[in-house]
Amino acid sequence: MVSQQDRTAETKVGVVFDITLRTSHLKDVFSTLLREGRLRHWKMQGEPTHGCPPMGDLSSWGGDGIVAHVMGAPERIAELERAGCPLVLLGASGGMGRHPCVWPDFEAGGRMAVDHLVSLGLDRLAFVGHPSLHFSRLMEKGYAERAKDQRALFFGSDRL
Amino acid sequence: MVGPMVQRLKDWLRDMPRPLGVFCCDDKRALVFLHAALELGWRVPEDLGILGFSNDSTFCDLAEVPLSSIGHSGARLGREALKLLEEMMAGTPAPRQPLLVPPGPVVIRSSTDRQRCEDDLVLSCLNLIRLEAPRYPMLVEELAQRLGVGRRTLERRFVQSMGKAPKAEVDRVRHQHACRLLRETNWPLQRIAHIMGYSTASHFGRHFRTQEGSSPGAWRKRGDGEAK
Repeated sequence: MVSQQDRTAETKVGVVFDITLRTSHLKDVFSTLLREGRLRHWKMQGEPTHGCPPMGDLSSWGGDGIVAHVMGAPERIAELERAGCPLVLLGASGGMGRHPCVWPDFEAGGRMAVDHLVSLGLDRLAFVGHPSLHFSRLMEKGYAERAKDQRALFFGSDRL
Repeated sequence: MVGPMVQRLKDWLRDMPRPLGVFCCDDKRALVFLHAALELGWRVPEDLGILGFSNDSTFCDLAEVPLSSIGHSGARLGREALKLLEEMMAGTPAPRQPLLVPPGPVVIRSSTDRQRCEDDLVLSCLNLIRLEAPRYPMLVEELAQRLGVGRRTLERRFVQSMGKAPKAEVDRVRHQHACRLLRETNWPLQRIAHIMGYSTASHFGRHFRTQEGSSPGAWRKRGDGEAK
């Protein structure tokens, strides 16, 4: 175990985003990771295109931890595991049981949506999402369950 | 690909009852769905309330009818992830369950800015207020004139339907808009006051304080997120 004091000066943390930072949400997540890491005096590494020094070959990288937003491919996670350090995953892609994940509570988002719409007198509800997207399935679950609790009529969903 | 998808959405929407509330799993899909609904002649938000997720202003504010959306804080997600990594780097075992960051608040824009009402005159009045009141403090006389009825008739029917006077709705819409500008821009108060038709920033500040109990500057600094 490495103490906080020992780690501070030389700690190297990788920030890996396999998707483009196309939304303001993703940009917020990414910039917060860099800012907060640098406030801890960590050396933040990642993709040069995202403004970070590169991590290079992961098996010889020698970093202390990685925060990653990957698109769910097990091979990609196996590749990150080669770094041999703690790994935290962002997002709600499926099949990531081996590592801790942090993601928005999408089911709660679905429940919140029903409460908002019902409060406006809308008690006939529908959902637009896509079953291939893990976060969409979670949202629809929370949405459909809350609609039932609220005695609103759920007219189903369409994929887009 | 968007063309066929919009067509399928239209086919799906044709069989749906009115009024209807629809939640879309992200703002981009909400924007495409809105486009399909408007092409079919649905009135948003009168017949159809649309709510997205992420509160991405790129999509929400540029929509033909600005989209309400559930926000979720990327900054908070990033902080929680880094905190968890720090604990794991210090030897704390990794949690087995996902760490869930609560979403919210609902940021209300035009696509769900509706209230229960079946009186067409009042619905038209609500629509007019929604479109015009953010720019200047509309008077009830003007509303009545533009809707082609007398002031007393409008007030009576509005109170019957909504349980409050039209002036109160004008104030509510203006306050909500002020909160949105404070929350989503870094514009100086003087500029917000000007855009909303106040004569001075202090005039704006007085109005804001009566609704919120604090000054616009203090409210913005606190980052309250939602209007009262």
